[in-house]
Amino acid sequence: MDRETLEMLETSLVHLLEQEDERPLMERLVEFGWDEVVADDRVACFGLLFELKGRVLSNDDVLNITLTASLAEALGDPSIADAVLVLAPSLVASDLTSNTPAVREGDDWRLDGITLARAEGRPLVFPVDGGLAIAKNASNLTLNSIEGFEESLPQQKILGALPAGEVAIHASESARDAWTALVAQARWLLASELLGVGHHVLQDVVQYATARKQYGVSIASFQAIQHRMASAHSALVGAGRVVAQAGITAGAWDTLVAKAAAGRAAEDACVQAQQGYGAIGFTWEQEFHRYLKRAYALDRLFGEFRNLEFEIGATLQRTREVPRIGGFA
Amino acid sequence: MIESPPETLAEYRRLLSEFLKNDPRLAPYRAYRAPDFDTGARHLIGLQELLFDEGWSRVGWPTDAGGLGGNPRSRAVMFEALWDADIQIPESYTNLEILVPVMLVYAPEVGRALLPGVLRGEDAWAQAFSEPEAGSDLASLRTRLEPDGDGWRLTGQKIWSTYAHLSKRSILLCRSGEAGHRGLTMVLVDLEQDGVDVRPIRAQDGNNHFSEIFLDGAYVPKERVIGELGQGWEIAMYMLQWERGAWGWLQQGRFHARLEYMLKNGLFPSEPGAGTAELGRSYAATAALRLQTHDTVDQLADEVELGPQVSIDKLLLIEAETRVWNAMRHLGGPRFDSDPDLEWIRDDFMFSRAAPIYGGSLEIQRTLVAQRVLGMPRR
Repeated sequence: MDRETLEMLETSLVHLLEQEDERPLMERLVEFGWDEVVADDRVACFGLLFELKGRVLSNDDVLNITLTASLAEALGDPSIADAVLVLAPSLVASDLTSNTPAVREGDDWRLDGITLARAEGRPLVFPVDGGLAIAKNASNLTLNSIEGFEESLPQQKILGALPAGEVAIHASESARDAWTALVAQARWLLASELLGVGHHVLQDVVQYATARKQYGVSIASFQAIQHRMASAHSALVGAGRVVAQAGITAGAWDTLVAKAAAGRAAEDACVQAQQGYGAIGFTWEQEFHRYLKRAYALDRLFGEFRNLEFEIGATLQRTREVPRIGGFA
Repeated sequence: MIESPPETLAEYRRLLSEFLKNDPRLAPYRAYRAPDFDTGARHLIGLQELLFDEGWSRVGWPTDAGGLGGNPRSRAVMFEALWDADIQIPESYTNLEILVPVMLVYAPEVGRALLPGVLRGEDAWAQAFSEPEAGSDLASLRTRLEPDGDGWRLTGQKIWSTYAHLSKRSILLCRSGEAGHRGLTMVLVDLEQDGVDVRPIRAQDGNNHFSEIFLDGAYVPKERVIGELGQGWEIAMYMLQWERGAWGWLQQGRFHARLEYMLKNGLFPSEPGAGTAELGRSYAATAALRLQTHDTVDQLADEVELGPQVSIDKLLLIEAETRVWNAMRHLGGPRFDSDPDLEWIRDDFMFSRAAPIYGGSLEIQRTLVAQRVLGMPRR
């Protein structure tokens, strides 16, 4: 997709994301012609959409829809496209068996996790030891809104027991591969969104610091402030390169590194911005805190950057290989 | 021997890697660990000759300058192939990667005539910008260029000139006119002549990386003025793009290769523990540097004029270089600091301490990014 087309798409998407409209984002995207533009350049479109979602703090469930659609296709089971993904509250390693939200207890699967979309009456899909589990619906389970830092995403806490008879397990090699691909895709999408959060915050704080005067001059002219912003910017640009490459390859390793880099860069942008805003940034009225909390929430999904950095290092130590990401030949 | 660039970069890579792996003449260079910088540089001239005579290092340079055609991407591929074969990249290559493109644009005739000698290692060039009183504040430099008959004479002092003590010539930024950056001119000066005294400075790793250059009426023929009089600043800025992109690409190759060496030789613990997250973070920083400088080299190959954003390449280099070597020392344990077999690795470690200083300090790069990329106001 050429630059001009991409810029036009960006304008349309920003308009769409900022529209006051009760209908779900995906419904509006489809109406806009999303499937056609995606057919042209899937990676560019999804990368842009998620980055913009980060910039405008969108509260949609497109991540869940995108991931379950891929899973449905990979497993040849269209019903999965309507499902809601359930994850362990914190994913600390990439493999299927670590950190599943469900454990087997007698004749039941006991679920304790978070959903990626509102789950009332919908099928569930979640990773379990050795495969992927699909449950027809979430009845008998307790669904609660998530309280805490970030309450505006359409996620829920899910708790309770599902009779094993109501849960189908895909334990095939292809199911495990599908999960690996899903994690890679999720990490790439979330990394794109984290970049959006970081870029928005940085852009906004630079604007604020330029307007804010102390000692008769703009505080953005102080080297101490400038260096914070420059440092955050270069980290975002560097992470952006890794995210762009990971979008092309969609590989497990590249997306792991991309989410680690984007998570760290987004947090760094928030740390520098918090200081750049001074006291005003610490107020409820100033919207910075919403971005900070969004960055924290996105970072938790599919692996926090500190855990991912550990996983990268551990993989290097165990395999004694140092993969080169991208290259000329 | 190759006589024209292979069809694709992948093919070039494959053929070159085969040559590096199998040709018996490469034996003295595979896994070569230089006892010190000077000995290493002299030893690697043999490698430069071999790669030139067999055509490999001529790929990526224009045919009218002794090359075989192609663009900087091919050179980037050659560097990667050398790292992968555990063959040290001659310091001279890194200098010419920065200096020759400038010559080919601003003094094409001289550049074309001299490139083959530089590539082959008979000739080596240094870069002389900094002065004792002009480091970050480069535009205040004072070395004078004054007319003398048909040519010019240089008087003044340069410092931190990498590789100058092993070089025949240096690209040198000097003052031919008024104060400030408008009065600056770039020249190519012969270092082996009366009126030039090159004195190496021993660096904290014990090696002679750089030198002072004392100039007392050193002669510069008129055709060795690069570009026009007063165009020196513009040329220096052009050169910086190559210094950021090409140098950064070279360095990420070094970091990946050194990490691999430590891992493959069991010099890190095989089980994760303290230092593991640090290692992962440094790898991610190196990946970012790799992809950023890949893009910069790509744009240079397409002759895109890059602006102040090349300072981001340097900031990412500082981040990667500092973190990778910190992680290596941490995971390497006490052995890293004292094992006699790791002397060459320690030299690289010590060199990494200069990353936030060399080629434009961390502080200068951050100021440039803030003011010229983010548009924050100057005072």
